[in-house]
Amino acid sequence: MSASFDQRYIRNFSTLSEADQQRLHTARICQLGLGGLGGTLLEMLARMGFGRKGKGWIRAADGDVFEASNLNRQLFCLESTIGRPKAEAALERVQTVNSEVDLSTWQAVVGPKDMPDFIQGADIVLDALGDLPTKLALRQAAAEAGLPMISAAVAGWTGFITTQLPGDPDAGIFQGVLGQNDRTEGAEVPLGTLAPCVWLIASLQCREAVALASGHPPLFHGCLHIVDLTDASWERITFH
Amino acid sequence: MLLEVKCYATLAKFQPKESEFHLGPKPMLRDLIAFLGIPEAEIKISFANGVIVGPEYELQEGDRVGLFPAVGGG
Repeated sequence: MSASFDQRYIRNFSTLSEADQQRLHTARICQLGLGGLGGTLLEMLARMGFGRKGKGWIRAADGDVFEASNLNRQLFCLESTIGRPKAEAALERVQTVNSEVDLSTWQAVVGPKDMPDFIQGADIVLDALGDLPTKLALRQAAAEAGLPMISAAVAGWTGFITTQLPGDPDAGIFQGVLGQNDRTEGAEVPLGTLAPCVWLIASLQCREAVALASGHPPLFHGCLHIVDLTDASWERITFH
Repeated sequence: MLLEVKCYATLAKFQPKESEFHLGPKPMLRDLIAFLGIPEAEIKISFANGVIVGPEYELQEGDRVGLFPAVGGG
């Protein structure tokens, strides 16, 4: 059963104004990654009403198929979707959550060469990738396209989020946190990634997407927020 | 010197139990990192009192220091 506009979004108001809600509808979002961060993030984008058909859209990509080791945290990974492409499962899920969303998916590994095409026409780029070199490449592509990008990552109980806006200096937080041409293995390899932390950080990404799409000041720009669920600490770190 | 130190994620194994450190006169962050036994290459971001600093940062009494490794999981 589909829901009327009034029913579907009524509990968004008045924390979101109707004008804000309309801006989410008209948003054009490109999200790379449909795993842990990406599944939860896309689910929330759909529920919030981003990219409504005829007004805006969401484009999401992932070249992987679900594996049993994804069940611990990836929202679209079900016992029944193991072995299936993440992009395909995401389409099905969003259709059941909010059929008004104009979602298209790329069932492909989007490498640095494909990134300009992938983010073409977007208002906002969302980094839900799970490896460091690809994150750096997407940061570069978003910067060259003049698009804002909301980036995040997790390892164990620790996660971070930061927003890059067009014109930000190259020597931003990314070089620090992700390294530059650096083959360092991320802490997620030995520590794994836990659902509460992944979903919390994905929630922060969605929150920031609401801010950017609705024209409000971003919360995570010019700084890095590190959340650590081992001791409930939250650090806001600036460059200067 | 009293410092509040937090070692994140994979660096948690270097987390000191104490908050008082004897690092000599005018210690730099590098001295603290060496004292803790952390290979510098494992630290991607270091910060003091919420501001990013490098290994040559001169530690101040009461600083809140954070040491953060490469994190890229999704």
